[in-house]
Amino acid sequence: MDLGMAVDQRSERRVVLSVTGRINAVTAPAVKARIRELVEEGHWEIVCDLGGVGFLDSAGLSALVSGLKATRERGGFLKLVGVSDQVARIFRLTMLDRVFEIHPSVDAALA
Amino acid sequence: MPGDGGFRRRVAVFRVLAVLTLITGGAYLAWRWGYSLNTAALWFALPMAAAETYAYLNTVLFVFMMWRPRRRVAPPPLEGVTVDVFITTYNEPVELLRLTVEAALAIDWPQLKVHLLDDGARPEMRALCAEVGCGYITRGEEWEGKPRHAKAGNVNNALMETEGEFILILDADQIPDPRIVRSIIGYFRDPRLAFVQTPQHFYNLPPGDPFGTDAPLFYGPIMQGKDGWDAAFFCGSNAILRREALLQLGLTEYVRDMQRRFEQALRTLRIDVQVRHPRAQYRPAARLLREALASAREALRRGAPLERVSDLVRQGVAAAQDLSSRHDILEIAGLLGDLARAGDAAAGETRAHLLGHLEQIPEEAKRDLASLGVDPAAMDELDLTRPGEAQPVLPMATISVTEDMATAMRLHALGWKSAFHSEVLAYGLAPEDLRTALNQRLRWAQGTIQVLMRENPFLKPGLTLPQRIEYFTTMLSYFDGFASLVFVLAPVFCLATGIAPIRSPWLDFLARLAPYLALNRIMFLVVTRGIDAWRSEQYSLALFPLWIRAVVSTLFGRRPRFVVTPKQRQSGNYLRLVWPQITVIALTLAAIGYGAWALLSRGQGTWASLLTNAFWGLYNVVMLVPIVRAAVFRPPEGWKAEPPQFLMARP
Repeated sequence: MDLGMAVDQRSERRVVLSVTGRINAVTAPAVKARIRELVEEGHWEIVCDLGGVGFLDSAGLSALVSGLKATRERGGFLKLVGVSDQVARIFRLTMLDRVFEIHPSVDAALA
Repeated sequence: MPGDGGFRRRVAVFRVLAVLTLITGGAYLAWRWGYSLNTAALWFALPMAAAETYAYLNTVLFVFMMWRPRRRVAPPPLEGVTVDVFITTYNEPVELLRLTVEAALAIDWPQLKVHLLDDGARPEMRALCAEVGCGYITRGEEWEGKPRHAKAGNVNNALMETEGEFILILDADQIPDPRIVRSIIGYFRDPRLAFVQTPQHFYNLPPGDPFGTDAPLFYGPIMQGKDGWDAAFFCGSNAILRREALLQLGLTEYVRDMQRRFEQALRTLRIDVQVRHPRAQYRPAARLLREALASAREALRRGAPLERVSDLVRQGVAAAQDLSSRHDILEIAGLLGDLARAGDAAAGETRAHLLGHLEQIPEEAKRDLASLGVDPAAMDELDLTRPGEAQPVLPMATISVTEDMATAMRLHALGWKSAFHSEVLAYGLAPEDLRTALNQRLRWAQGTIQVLMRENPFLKPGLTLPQRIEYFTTMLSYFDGFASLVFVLAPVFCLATGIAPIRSPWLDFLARLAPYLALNRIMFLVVTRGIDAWRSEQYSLALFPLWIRAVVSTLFGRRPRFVVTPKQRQSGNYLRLVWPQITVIALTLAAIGYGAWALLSRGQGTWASLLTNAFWGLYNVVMLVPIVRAAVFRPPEGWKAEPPQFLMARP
């Protein structure tokens, strides 16, 4: 499955996690595991850049919510940026747009 | 009918000779395998015995084919029926089509419509049709980007645009006799008759038929023999077909093809669901999917409507997708519950929303089909509109470059009958140079072998045993090249090495072989009485390199493409095309010279062996020489093709 993840560390706690590809049942476990790893390493302020994600399904949503919970437990956050129209629509339809902070850009998310 | 007694007498004489030929031949073969194999040189003895056995099998099949030939007299015309004439063209010149179209318009039948099927979509052809007043049909835009299926596709396209009850198919160069419809339409009084084939006749054959194109043996005794077994072939042109039969065939094949596609798609889905991403699967959903696929397969096997099968799969996939998506949503709801308890009010609301709409998960948010192991391409196959084809229903078979044979076999398998009418009613052009002639033969051979591989007559349901044998006989004849190779090289080996494939006293050998060969020859002469089949015989041996090439290229090589036979003489000399034949002739003559020298000056070998092999070798040379001469053939000064009489007679 085509999934790519890159981490850009911005400060001791803060990272930008850029994901590319499809997030579905096949790839979601990897996303979920990576976020948990980051949190365990002390980076619980995460901006997740979905700019390269063309497709996301219920399994992908589940991975992101699980990541959100992991960051919150440490008093951190998981914010989303670079959300395509299609992905934004899924968040709206499931009302998860009210749970996640969705920002137009990384800078806006970290402002 | 007049001459009927003679015909029957000839059949009786044939049968006597045939039985004697098979007995002597059978005895000879038994002796060859059982008592006379040269075990000291098996590398030579075995191929030789195998080739002889193959030749005997051909004789058996020939006897069967000729056992009860049918010579028909057409019933009175079936008045009032509508006939469409299809003239197929791709790149032939306008002047040639003008001859054909004008002759077609002159066909004596009141309810007749002539259509030019121009696969080249040329403006000058459209203009010709407007000028002479005949229909003009080209492919529509629905064919863009779809397989065109050459001539078969051209005819299928026209079938959908016309509505005559019967269809007369003519190649671009086939000038019809005005009587063609009236002469043979009466056969269709039999409501189960699908087509009537008439001979191919060429009006441009140079004297002596240098390229062996004339096929009086095929469009005479052979077709009459096949007709006797209700297995007269459709040969692509000069035939009238019943539209109803073609449409029924198209529909049957459509359903069969869909069935095959469905089976294949279900197999792909079943394997994928089990193999692709097993760890990503939500188990109960995967089980649901497997069960749905199993019941779809069962429904297909029981012959349920294909729509039902497709629905079962779609429902199963949807249910599995829903179940696993619901599983995800419940997981999300659990996580959101934790967040809500930690003080996130919005999470609580979203949780309530999701749980309240568990049965209405938005389509966009549902699980990816690919992650369920469901290949979208396989799902597309479960579509009854045949998205890959321009026309869902394809009456004329498209599985081979020789669409005619495949179509005839499918019609026979559906229980339709056919007839061969031996009177020449159309006059066409034969290839006028060796390259074109050879290409045409190669195409036929490759196409026929293709049909054998795609639809083996012995496996095809619906055919009678004699029909299976007749189709197989014709298909098998294209494998002759290997036996012929053994036969042309054997005397060369014998003379050059002094090794014989046979171990036996010479007289003993001769006494067993000679009666078999003589009877076989006489039997053949009885069948071909009144016909000059000698050129055909020469070519059937001389073309051995082409037959071998056809088999090898079709079985192991690229798919042959439909090549439109050029109708004009291509100039040049073609000795390069016949190098194998030239080589064999040279080797044979050299081997005879060497054998004679070895016997006379060194006392090696025997007179019996020298004479037998020299005779055999010279026979081969006689068979091979015409094709070499054809390679450098020039028509005699002043010779011109003569269009048929009735054309000249018209004002």
